[in-house]
Amino acid sequence: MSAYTPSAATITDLTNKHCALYTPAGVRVTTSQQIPVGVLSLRADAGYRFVGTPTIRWRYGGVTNQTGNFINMTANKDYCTFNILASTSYVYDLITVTTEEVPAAIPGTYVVPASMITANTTAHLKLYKSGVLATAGTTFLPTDTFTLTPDSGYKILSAGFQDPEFGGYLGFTIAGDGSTATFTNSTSEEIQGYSYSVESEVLPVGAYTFTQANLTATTAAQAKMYKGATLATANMVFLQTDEFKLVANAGRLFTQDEVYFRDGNSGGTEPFTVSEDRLTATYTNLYGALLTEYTVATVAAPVSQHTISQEDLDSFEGAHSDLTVNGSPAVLGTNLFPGDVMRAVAREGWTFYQNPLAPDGFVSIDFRYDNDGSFDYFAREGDNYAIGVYTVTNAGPFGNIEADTVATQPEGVKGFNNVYEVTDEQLKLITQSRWVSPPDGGEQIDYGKYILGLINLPFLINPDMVVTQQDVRLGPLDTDILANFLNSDTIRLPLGEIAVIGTKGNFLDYKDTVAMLHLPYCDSVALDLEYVIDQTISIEYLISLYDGTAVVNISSSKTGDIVLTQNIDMNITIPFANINTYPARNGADSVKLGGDNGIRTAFIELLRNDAVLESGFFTIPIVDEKPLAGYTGFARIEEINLSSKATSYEKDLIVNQLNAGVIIK
Amino acid sequence: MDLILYSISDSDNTINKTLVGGLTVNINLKRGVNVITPSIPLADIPGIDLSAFNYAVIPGLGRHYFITQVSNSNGRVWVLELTCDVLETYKADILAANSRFTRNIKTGDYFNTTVDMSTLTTVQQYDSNVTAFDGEETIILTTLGA
Repeated sequence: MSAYTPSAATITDLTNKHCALYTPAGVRVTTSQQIPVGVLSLRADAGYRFVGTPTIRWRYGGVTNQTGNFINMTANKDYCTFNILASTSYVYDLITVTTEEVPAAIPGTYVVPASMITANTTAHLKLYKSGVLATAGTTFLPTDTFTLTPDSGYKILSAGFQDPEFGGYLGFTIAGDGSTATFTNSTSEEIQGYSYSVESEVLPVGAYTFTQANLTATTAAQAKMYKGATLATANMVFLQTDEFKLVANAGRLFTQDEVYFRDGNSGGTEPFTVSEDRLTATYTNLYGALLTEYTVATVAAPVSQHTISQEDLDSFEGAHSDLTVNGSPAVLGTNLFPGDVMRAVAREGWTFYQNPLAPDGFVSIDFRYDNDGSFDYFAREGDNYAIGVYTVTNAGPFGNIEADTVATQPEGVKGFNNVYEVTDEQLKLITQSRWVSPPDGGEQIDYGKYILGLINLPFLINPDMVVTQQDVRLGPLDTDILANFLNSDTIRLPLGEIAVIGTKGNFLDYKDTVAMLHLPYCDSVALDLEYVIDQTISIEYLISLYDGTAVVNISSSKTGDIVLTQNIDMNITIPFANINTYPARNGADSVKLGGDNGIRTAFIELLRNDAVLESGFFTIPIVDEKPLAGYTGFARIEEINLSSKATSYEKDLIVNQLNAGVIIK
Repeated sequence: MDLILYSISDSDNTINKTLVGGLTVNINLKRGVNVITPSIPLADIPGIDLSAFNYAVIPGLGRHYFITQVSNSNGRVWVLELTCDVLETYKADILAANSRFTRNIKTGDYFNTTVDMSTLTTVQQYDSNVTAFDGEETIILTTLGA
């Protein structure tokens, strides 16, 4: 059980402030005394009222200076209460209160009675004072304006105060569409005792009154509502055929399904249609829904992280690749927003450079963020080095995008090697570039260790071998020196065909004859006459571009295939300082050392000891067997199947003479 | 029986001799004459030098003959000693008969045989139709690394 015993000082203070405590029994406390448990009231003296809310201080347990407000303050602020709790833990003491004299009444002042609120509610109206919903007790000075607004679906027909004694009527001003009614007691007439009447009616089906609350919600959502071209105001009525048009403020976007009315009949939603650019949302109540709850929201418009520039497009074009944004070709001025997907595809024959500085799995398509200057890279799509993908984030704006491709590793080049055609000038630059000083100032790095070979071919290569011009790369080092990038590490060099026609057309073309094939940069080789006489010899060099060794293949039309192969070292290498990776030869045993022998065109020499009497009348080295008819010249008949009527003696004569040799004319 | 006298310049071992002249003389062969080597007496023919003939054909015997000797027996009678030219007489049979023989070289003969060869050597050169090494140069650099 507890109680409150205000001190004498407290009693005095309250008295000085024109107020007093009253016991739960309603007895004014004039001296320090114990007040029983119950509802303690604090009342202002006549002509005074409280300013703010009086408080009472207590101690609870060991905690001091706890305070609580008096409650149940009356409208004229002259009465309030505090409930003294039935607990021994509470010890109440000081009361703090401020009062003032009640100002003289202003003529025409009106305090809203509860009956006025009831009448408005019955008529589906609400009363506002300066945009604030009025309640019973709200005071309207003569300068204040009463504003009535109808609930959605209603319109105001009439509202006003009527003098019950003389019948005078002070009507509200009704807007043409019944969406508002206003009244200002500008004549300061004493209307407090006047009767208040109001009348409204239901709007047509599908109509909606855009309320102050709706307007406030719209403004809060950073948007504006229009009816047609007219900016909507509070309590503007939208008929069924009127279009609601929401326009988002700058930097804001609507989101579909977050802008809608509620249909009071079905309970479902009547969504606005959000435009493609999400800047507007529109709705027309085509089916006469009972529009109730209005919801509107916007989100911050995404900020473009980058705008596709001409430099971007030039970079991709120069890198033989194409860029798309969300599946469409990137064009100048395309804005990139978070979530947009950029996809770069290298054209046939090219892949994106695998930048050793980029993380694994990324390709050399990069840009720098404006904020911290850090790089970001396109991701490689799977194992495909020809495709890079980047999804724009909100990490911040970034600068121009740079793409770098390399020609697809030619099938004709082994491993990850590169073959370049270089000029003397380029070679000098490469020699200078191979030495790189590390950023930390340490010992120079010689990227020349990635040079495999350097040769000087004694002819011009076929331009078809040039895939493109590309930076010379020494391992991970991009020298930025453009050179012709070749598609093969072997050159197939046809040396043409040599047609050898026998001059005799018989065995004399072979008799005591030697065929020697003389080749550029190669020892001469002897060929079997069977592959040469009345045949065509073809020669082809397969030159290794790593070290200048060559395989010489010699083919003959006799067999249609290779009849002789020679391995030679053309001795065309250029010395360079790289001992470690200089390629090993096939072995001294199998390679003949060549060199420039002055021969530019391959040729065959036939060296022959001529027959002395090849056309001699009595030179008859050829054995034949057939009838002699048709033959002219000298012949020695070894055997003859003579069928004749000659006598035996004559036949002997004939055979003897034939054996000795005859001349047939 | 006719005896046709000719003058030839071909060697005896020639087949298809060229017969020049052609003086036909009527003769009567004696009984028992050797047709291989007959002796034919001929009366002197005014204006004809019988010694100018060295070849004869006796169509009645179907044979060609060399006139091996011409002799005067009694001043007005000449005796021609004939020897059968079996090569010319039977040339049709000879030329038609299949035979194995040695003959001159002709195009298409690729026997591996022996002929008399000179110690001198001749050289024939056959050039390729392509000059690949044209005096220009190309420097090729090969490197390692993607």
